[in-house]
Amino acid sequence: MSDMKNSSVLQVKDLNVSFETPDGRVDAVRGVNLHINRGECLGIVGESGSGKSQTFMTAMGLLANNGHATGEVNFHDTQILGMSVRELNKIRGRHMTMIFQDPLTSLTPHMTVLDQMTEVLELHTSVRGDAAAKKSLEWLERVRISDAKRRLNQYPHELSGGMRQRVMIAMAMLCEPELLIADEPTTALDVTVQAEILDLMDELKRENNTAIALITHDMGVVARMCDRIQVMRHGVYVEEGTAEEIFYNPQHEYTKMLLDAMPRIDQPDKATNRKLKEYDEKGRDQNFLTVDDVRVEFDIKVQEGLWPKKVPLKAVDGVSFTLRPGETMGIVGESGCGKSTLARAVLQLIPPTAGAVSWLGSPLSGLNRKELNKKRKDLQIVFQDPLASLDPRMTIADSIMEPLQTFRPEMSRKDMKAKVAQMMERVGLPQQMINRYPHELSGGQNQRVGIARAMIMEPKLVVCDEAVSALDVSIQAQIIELLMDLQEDFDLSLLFISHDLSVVREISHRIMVLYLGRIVELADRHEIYKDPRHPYTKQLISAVPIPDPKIERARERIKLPGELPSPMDPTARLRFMPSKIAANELDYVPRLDEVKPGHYVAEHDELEKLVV
Amino acid sequence: MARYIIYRVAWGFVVLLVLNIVTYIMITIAPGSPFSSEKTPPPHIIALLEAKYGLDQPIHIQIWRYMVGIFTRFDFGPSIMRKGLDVSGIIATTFPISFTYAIISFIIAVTFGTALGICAAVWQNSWIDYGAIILGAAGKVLPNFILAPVLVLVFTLWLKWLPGGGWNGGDWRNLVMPVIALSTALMASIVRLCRGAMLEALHMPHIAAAKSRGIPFYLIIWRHAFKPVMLTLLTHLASMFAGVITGSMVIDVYFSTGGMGQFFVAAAGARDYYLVMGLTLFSAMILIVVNILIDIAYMWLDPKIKFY
Repeated sequence: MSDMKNSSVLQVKDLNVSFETPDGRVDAVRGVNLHINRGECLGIVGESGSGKSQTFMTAMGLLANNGHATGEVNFHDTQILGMSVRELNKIRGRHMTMIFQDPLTSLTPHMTVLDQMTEVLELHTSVRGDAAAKKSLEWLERVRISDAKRRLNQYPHELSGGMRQRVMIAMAMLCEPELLIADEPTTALDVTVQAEILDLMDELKRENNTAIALITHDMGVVARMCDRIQVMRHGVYVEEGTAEEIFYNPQHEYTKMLLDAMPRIDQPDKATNRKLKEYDEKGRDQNFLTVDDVRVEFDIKVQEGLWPKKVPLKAVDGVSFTLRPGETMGIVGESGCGKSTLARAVLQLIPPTAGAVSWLGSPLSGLNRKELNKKRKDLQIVFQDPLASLDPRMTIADSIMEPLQTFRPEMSRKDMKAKVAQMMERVGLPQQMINRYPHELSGGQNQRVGIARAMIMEPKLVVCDEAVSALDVSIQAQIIELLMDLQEDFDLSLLFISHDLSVVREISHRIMVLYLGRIVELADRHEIYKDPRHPYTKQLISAVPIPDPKIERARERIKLPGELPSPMDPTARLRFMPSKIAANELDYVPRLDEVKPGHYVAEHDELEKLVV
Repeated sequence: MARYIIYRVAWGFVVLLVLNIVTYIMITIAPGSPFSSEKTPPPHIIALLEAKYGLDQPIHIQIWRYMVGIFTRFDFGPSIMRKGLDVSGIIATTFPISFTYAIISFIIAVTFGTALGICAAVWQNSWIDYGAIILGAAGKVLPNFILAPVLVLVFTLWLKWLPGGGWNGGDWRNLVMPVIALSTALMASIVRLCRGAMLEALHMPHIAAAKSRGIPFYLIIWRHAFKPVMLTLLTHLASMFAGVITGSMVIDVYFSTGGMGQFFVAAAGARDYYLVMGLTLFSAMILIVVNILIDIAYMWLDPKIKFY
């Protein structure tokens, strides 16, 4: 097989997959054809529900019980669709392996890394015992896990998300398969970790000549990784071609739409049909929202000595900023950096441990419940998961109306209904949906409901906590546009939290980068991308994939050693000042300097001293 | 680990102390006394009797003396109902009887219940699954005080295979019916519990991931799905064991096994303070020990759990 250089490893012909559900038959995949050659990376791109995962789940024999597949799936020349599980088990895990989106739930939680890896070796190869342990260790080192030897005897929950995905990849590569199927392998990971995992997969592809099927919704990831691309929508392929063809000369409307809707970190105001209105400071109230040295600490139980001890975890560690009326502040950072906690502390949903929040000139912190509730009218929040943040037993009109009933009980039911109808129209929800329940709506529509509910009191400040992160790109672009329109209409201020730096650039006037509860950089939206000063900001920006194969592949990435450290680690906040650690000044708190008017950067060592 | 066990045992003692005080107070404030039967003796005799058993002392002195006896000499006091016997002696003769068939019932219920529940989930919607569902429902709705007489009717009166009661030194024929009566309901709950837990486990993403690695189904069940089921079961085992202990009281009475339950019921009727309290506290001790053992097993099974 190895001498047939261009032969297909996997060939799918006219595949149909349908599911019998209580609501009738659902055709998830309709007549799909594809092939993957040796050492090639095929990108399968599409939004949720396009059937891109189901195609490969079927190939792996992982179809749900109510699913039915017809057509052909050939691994080399063997038809594997309809094969007995016993026969299939000789191929999957050995010649054809798969990694999944969520590395935590995809690893067996009660088995050590070593046990799970040797299990694969013992099933598919003649390697046993010490040799198997040695081989496992070799692969863990190849996927560049830090401290590989110790990882062998750890359980999945003791590893970080990135490490878990590395373990998944190492496990998938153990038998040196010809095909690796990666189903959204980096979607659940932070952007810097994503960059490393993608580099690793690319390297494995080249070194082992492994074919990769990369299933993703992220055009940036595809641009970086894939030789050929197939675009899927509603269970059918709409377009297929090389990376260059798809990106520079898309034929199908849907492909064009996908590329247009994708925000780019190197091109502002791209994803939306309108531009963000530049912020004009003149005549603005400076006492709108002032956050002064806010800290939030959680007590963590740590076993030390005979009895457990409570140690404070500093989720937000002294953050100060101001927000002006009609302005959007983007808050970015990786998971665990405290961005959500900060926003909740500003709204007093989590009372800050220390520091002051002042709102329209009067303090917000330290108010009692009743006084605070009065102010809540002007302070609203939109959450990440639109479905989970709506009451499933309330119609969407009732959900939107609820703030009116709370804050304006004197209003007549008829007036309330009129106002809800007006707001629904404003956020783009059709009138006939008024009596629908959240489960009957799509994700994007539910998020519009969430926004309508936040907007109905015409608040002055809305926090959007990853409000577009769970949505498909096309919907994401629409919601961003909606938020910008609402901002202009109501002179609304936004705190826009996101892990996605490209999205933040589309919508924010100023951007704050958080690292372990502290601001490392804060500047104007263009300034921070054109002239990032802090190594962490530079690293974050360089890690975001750009949906343009030529630019993306030519880009040089800034790599800092190690993973995001635990906030419990006392040296963690000096990660960018190793000189202070060397000088044993472990309590040193890096200053925030104003390097240019409005551009603040935390103290750090020179980038050259930090990179490996 | 050692520290955790010491911690738990220490807490066990605290629980016992509190239970001790509560039961003592509850039983003394209940109307009636050990000596108020149909023919109530004259007051001066009652006073003498109360003095003999120390019941004339203030309640905190009584409780104090009682606890000192238990914790220093394992002495639960004298039985008032059975003259000449003390409570520890009664426990020593009756507990092994109750415990023997309770533990046999428990082991049988757990073993067969788990196996059947898992098989039902693995072959979902097959005849074995339907059988398990029917058994799970039937066993649950049939209380042991109904099941026991039915068993006696069938096996003793009609078929004449098994003795209708007694202990006979623990002969297997005397064990069969108490064990069936005691284990059926428990087995039924375990079947339902394990079936549900296994179905849930089989739908977890790591099972699909294991399948994608070509791991055969029996290994997936055994290595990848069984442990979560065990953890679910373990959480319920402590309360299930308490159910077996209380259930055995009923069975003791019905089959006249001479076990603890018979004395419990008789002692409650006769207001035999010391015997009722002794048996209560002793059962509580057993339950505390079992709970500690289950939590240790839990910790050993689930690497994520770290107890403080």
